[in-house]
Amino acid sequence: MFLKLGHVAFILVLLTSFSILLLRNWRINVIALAIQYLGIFFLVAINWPLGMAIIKLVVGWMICAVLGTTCMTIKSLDETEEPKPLSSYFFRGFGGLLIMLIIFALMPQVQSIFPPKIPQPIIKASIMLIGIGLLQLGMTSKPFYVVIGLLTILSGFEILHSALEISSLLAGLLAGVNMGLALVGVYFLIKENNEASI
Amino acid sequence: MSTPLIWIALPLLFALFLALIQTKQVLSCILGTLFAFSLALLAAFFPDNLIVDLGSLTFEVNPNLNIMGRTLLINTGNLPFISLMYFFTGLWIIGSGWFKLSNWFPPMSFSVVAILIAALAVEPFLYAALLIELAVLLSIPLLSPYGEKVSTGVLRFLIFQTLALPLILLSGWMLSGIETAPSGSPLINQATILLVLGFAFWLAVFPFHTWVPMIGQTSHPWIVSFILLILPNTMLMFALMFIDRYTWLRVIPELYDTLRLIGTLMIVIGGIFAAFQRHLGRALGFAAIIETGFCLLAIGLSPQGGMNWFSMLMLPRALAYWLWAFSLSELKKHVDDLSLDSVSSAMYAFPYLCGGIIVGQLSLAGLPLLASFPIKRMIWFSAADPDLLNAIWIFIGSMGLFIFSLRTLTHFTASPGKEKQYWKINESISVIVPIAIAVIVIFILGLLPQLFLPRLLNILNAFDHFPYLP
Repeated sequence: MFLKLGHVAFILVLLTSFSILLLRNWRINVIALAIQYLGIFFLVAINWPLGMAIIKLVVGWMICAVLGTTCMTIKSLDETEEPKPLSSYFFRGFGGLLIMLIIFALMPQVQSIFPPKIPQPIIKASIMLIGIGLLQLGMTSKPFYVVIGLLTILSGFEILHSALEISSLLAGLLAGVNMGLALVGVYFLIKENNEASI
Repeated sequence: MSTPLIWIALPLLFALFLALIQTKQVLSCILGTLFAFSLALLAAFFPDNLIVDLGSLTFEVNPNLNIMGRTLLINTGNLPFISLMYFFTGLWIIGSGWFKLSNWFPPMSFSVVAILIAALAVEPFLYAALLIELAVLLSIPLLSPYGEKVSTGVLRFLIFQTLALPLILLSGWMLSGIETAPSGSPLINQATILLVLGFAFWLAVFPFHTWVPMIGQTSHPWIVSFILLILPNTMLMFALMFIDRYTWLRVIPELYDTLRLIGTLMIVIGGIFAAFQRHLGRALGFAAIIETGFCLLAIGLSPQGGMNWFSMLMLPRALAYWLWAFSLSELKKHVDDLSLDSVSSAMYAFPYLCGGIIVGQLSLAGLPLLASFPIKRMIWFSAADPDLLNAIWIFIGSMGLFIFSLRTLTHFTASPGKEKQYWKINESISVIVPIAIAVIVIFILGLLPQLFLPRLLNILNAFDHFPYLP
């Protein structure tokens, strides 16, 4: 069933990662990240047992909850989100489109590296998330968006790795790393808020 | 009872205890230091057969600990490195008592070291990458304490260390396939590229080195020196585990040439940048880049015996970092910032602190009579054997730190006006004593290296296939 949903999940992941890249609003980013983790869950469930795949969804939504509730408590976050010029949206959108084009163009070569049993949506979604995540890291120096970029890259890698290896310890450790990254993000947010209030 | 329980689980529990008493900074420091040195001594003198004989009571310590279907394995070969790691932790925790650091330093440093040791002990060993990432995440609050701005350096540190994780895990998957693949398989090249890139991120190899001087400038020198000592050491040991385990990797002749090239590049770039620095903290960062370069160079010189120098360099490096960072952290209390202009004429007011900084720098630069010299001399000579040009570049890189030391000395002794400066000792005896001890130990190691440094060769017992011959 999840194999059939693979293409839908890929589109879900594509749209959410693109909106995270394009829109610099913490509410939209956190919601998009939560939907992205749903797509990731569908893609991981193609190869992993449902019980293990759901770890990704639970951890992902926990991350979103932690980041979201922290952002909600920080009032200065809304104040600092000034309206951006239209050109910045164009620039980021163009960058994202370029990444998409490169990934679609290089897909046959990338696919040849991995075993043929890996479904195409998994490889496409994985490379897309890694590419968009890297672009996000290159375009921001704000800790919140950096952490979201890193989470996106790790998600991309996790989708790919789920098709290569099934291990409960690995799933547990990756969940720990993801949660750790989210907590670092929260720490940065609280620190910045503290400095702003001073 | 098992060895992972003693050197991983117990320190983690102790870190939890230290976290509970973190408000009592002095007690936390004393207990942390005592426990770290106890673990170091226990690891250093633990029986080779893992059988503990206490009079009538004899029991065997198991080297394995099973967790979730995976194993943590610490055998006697790993203990010398573990001993050294806890010795360094003890040295840094005891030093933290002098400075206004985060109360979380003792528990966090214990957790970081215990997780890094778990990374070296976990089987399958590729999961180590995840544990190293956890250690990196734990070190973030230390590098960027509450109340200070999130610096670009810390963000880059987080980004580069996290980017290494997928690369190493993916290369691990490829490596498991290579064991059964033919020698000409393209998988070998792909895995090697991913592996090299992953370690380049981890070890801050050029051009991924920018965060090192940045955190040197913005974070506390004591924390920076600890992180820049503990993390690269563990990562290099992890890299050696790769070389040790995979025969196909070990026998690639180009591997050693590449390591020598990367090592030389780091020494040259680190040296040139260090020579032109105007900030003592940033220079510490570049010194760390040079030291990682020397480690990679020593591993690259493995066929000429470079592994011996790799292991013997660990202690002199740690002592030099300790002295430099201790003196710098103490000086930071008295000056606005650590730029060379701000510390102008500081020698007249704080001669011991300035002396400590200079001796630490010169020891790292490999000045004769100081701790690093005997080992670095061997590396220089060995590097000249396969390629004289390589040795010249290494000499240029090493001179960079030496030039910076001379520039620092010039600033320390500069007279602001035409008035004659008079020497005055403003340091307390509690600061002078540790600096004096460190300087004496550095001189003893430089003059009598044969007494202490050969013991560090036991670190290599963790690997089965030495010496590496392509």
